[in-house]
Amino acid sequence: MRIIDEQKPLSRASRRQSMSEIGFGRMETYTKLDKLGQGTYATVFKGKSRLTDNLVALKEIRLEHEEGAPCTAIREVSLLKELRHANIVTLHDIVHTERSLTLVFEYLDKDLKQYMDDRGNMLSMNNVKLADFGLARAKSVPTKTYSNEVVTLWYRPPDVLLGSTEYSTQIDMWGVGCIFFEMACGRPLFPGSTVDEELCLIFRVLGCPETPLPVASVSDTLLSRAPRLHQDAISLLTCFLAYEAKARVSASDGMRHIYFKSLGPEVHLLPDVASIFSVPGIQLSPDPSISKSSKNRRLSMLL
Amino acid sequence: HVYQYARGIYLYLRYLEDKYCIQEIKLEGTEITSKMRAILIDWICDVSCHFKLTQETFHLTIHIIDKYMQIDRTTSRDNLQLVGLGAIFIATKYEEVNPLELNDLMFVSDSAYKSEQILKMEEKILQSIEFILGQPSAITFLRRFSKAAKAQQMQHTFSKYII
Repeated sequence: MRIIDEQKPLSRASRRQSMSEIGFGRMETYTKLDKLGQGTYATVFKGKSRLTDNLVALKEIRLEHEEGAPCTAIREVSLLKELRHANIVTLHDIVHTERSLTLVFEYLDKDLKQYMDDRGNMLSMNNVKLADFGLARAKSVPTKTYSNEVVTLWYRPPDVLLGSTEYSTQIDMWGVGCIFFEMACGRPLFPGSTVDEELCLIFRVLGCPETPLPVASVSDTLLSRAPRLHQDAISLLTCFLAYEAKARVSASDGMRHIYFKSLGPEVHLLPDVASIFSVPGIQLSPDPSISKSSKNRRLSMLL
Repeated sequence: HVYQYARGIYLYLRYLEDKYCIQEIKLEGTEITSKMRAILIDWICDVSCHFKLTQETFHLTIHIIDKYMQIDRTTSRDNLQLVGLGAIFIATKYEEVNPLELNDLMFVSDSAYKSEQILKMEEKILQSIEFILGQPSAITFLRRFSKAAKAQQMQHTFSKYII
């Protein structure tokens, strides 16, 4: 794709023409291999591109749906087309037919859970990448209210669970905290199966919203559940898990938290498309505090 | 929170605006005249008032129509309203919390087209514009300017009317 981009003087129409001659946008270009998973509106297959011989992930969205292309698919494609980042899955191609819409992604061989489990065996330098933008929408300034049926239950913040529809970037910072905990100890922080249960699990750690527990006692609870996390990590975690959305740390402030200080100042200057492992001296290493014989051995997030 | 990112967001929106703006609406060589385009847009305006769609949706619909007309030069007079329907269908799916349904579209167009035709048009438009829907419109920036200028409700609403 990029090669063509660089030979700029092609008009959009003729560019599409030549892309199509090469094989982009056509299902014949991709060989479907194993089925990887099934979601509510899409099925994901492992596939292979006949152009490059590279593995790809094919997300097949069925269009037998009476209302045409689902809005989730329209938003996902439109947003992913503009995103180029070392930690975001790349959308290579789109195949649109009457019966289905297939998104062709770079192939990632593991999800986060498998990735965390396997790191014990090899010091891989692979990047973690974000995928599945099915519920994403374009960011602008918060002016509108949206649906509160958003975010996987385990990572949904209490204000949204309690019905708030006026959310913004803070909604994701709660989830970041939950995932951070999960990466460190291998199990989810608040694995509720209903909204009520989810709230109960949260209240048990943080106290009720009206009478929240003091930070010190929240820290103790978290520490007892995730003994691998040290003081700085717990402090960062409590910044993410604030009841009030406004009080939650922002992503850019979070990156300046003392927990990340050991990574050095260079990480803040990385271009979007560069991997964190391109910074000299940064690599994954085993956590010395975990014994090698431990069945659940994991690697430290402290790089 | 978001104020931290406001500058970055608007810089990016400006970049998208430059990248995807339609330089000039070229209708020569097609069956469509600028007068027909104006009638279509008036009708889209009625539809969006009828369903109380947001201004963003309205502007996005027009952008989709114009962009599609730049790429596909074969739209006939008879199909112009169909293009409008396809565009508004896509725009509400992208922008609205509750997108319009095919039934709604059939209703406002007095069943001038079959639902399969609308779906086919949706597919054709999405392919032509390559799913690019993120470009900002005048309304996106107006909100920011009004805030910066501490505009009163009336000034803001009047500006909305002008654009």
